[in-house]
Amino acid sequence: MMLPVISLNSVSKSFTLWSDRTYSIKELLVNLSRGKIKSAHKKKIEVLQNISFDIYPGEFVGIMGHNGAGKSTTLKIISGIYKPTTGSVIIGGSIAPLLELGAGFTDELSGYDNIFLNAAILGFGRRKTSQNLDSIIEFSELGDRIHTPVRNYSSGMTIRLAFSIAVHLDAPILLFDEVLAVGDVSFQQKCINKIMELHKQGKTIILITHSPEIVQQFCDRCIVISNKMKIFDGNPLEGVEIYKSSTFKH
Amino acid sequence: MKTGLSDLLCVNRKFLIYNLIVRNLKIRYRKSYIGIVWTMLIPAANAIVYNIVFRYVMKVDIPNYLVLILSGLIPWAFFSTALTNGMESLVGNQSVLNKVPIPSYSFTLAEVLTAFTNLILSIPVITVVVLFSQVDFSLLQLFIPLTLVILLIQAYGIGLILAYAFVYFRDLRHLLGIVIQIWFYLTPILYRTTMIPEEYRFVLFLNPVASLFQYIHMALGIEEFSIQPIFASLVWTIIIMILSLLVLNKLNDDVVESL
Repeated sequence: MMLPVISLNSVSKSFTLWSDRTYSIKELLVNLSRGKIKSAHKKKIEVLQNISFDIYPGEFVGIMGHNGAGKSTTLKIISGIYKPTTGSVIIGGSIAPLLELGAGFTDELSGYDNIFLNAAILGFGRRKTSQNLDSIIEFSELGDRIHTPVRNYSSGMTIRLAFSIAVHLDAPILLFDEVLAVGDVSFQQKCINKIMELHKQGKTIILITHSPEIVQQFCDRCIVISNKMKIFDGNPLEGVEIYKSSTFKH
Repeated sequence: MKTGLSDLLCVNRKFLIYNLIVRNLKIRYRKSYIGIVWTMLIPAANAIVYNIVFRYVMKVDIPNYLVLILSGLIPWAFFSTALTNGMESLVGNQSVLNKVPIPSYSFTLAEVLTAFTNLILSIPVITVVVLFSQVDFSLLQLFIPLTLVILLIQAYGIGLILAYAFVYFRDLRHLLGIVIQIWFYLTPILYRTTMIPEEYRFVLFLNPVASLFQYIHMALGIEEFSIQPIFASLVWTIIIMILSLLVLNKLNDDVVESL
């Protein structure tokens, strides 16, 4: 019996919204002088409701759902950026959290410098980064431009570099948030091929996407989130149908 | 999970901290090969102005006055830069903090260490100035680096509290500028502590960094040695670290969601 690498157990998440929250010391002092210490209009909004699922090593899971359904929050909970309000999350293994490609990219620095910076931000060490340096540069197709500032890159070049760093760092679990929506067709195809290659190597991949084709062609499993709740978990073909109908109903 | 003192050092994130410092230095000194000279130039210019105003206009009579103020102004330049940039460290990196699970305080540590790198780079310059002045050698001078490390720890602790507060109170930026200016004059940099009337001298103990600057004066032979400032700075360092850990543990889960 294999143990899951990611296990969400009735996870709910809510944010507190203050309709009259003070954002300055000046306002705070004014309120204090009027004897108003606590914010009166506190409102909780729930963004995830009782979500449970287990993901096993080597699975390729597509998460679908219309905008605002809670997909990205789910990914943020898995990666540990947000803590669940109730419920628990168990993670077995290091994660490459690619919710945004090129996190921390600095325009003034060269692509080469940004490889180290971005890898460090994603939680990788010097050795792992240096080991994969050549393959990162090669995959990015940047050639000599790697030593020029990212400021002078086209958006396509930036994304290529960012994706290249993300997939070469050898993390056992990879989380992607709609990353395939960017770049030109040939690079998209190259990205998908690379993700499939990682999948074949036995890595666990979770991908948020709106593309039924990608889910049907490549994923082993599809989770559909609608209106804060998991409404489907299983066969990708069925999942896509349920996603489509849930979108139309909304 | 509680954040402890050892977490604050980001030991298992050395590669990250190193890369953030390199980034900060490269951005700041981009295309300017004399970058470090610029960092030195502001305290140096200030020291010359203060020297003229206080020595020749106000007639302050302290031997080696220029050395005295320069040796205080450079650590102060570090301290004020560390607080200002440290305060911005979370808000300035919110796009990363919102997308990558990363300890928020690593950005604060990187900012404070960037400022400290500048301080370290200016130590040779000030050593040369001291060697060419009439300041006598004293064993106390060997402990000045330790004083600077304590200043670094305090700057990190205060910077952390400011960084967290800045997430909630965005007008803190204006307030900090004023506070730093007043704080500067309340710290023995332009004067020695014996010039303060005795009945008001206790105020120095309310200022966490005062005793560190007092120590520099003692080491340079401008003031008599006494043990109290050393105790005071250690007590303040402990208080600051406890306070920053309390703030961190209280707000750590909330702060990323509030960014």
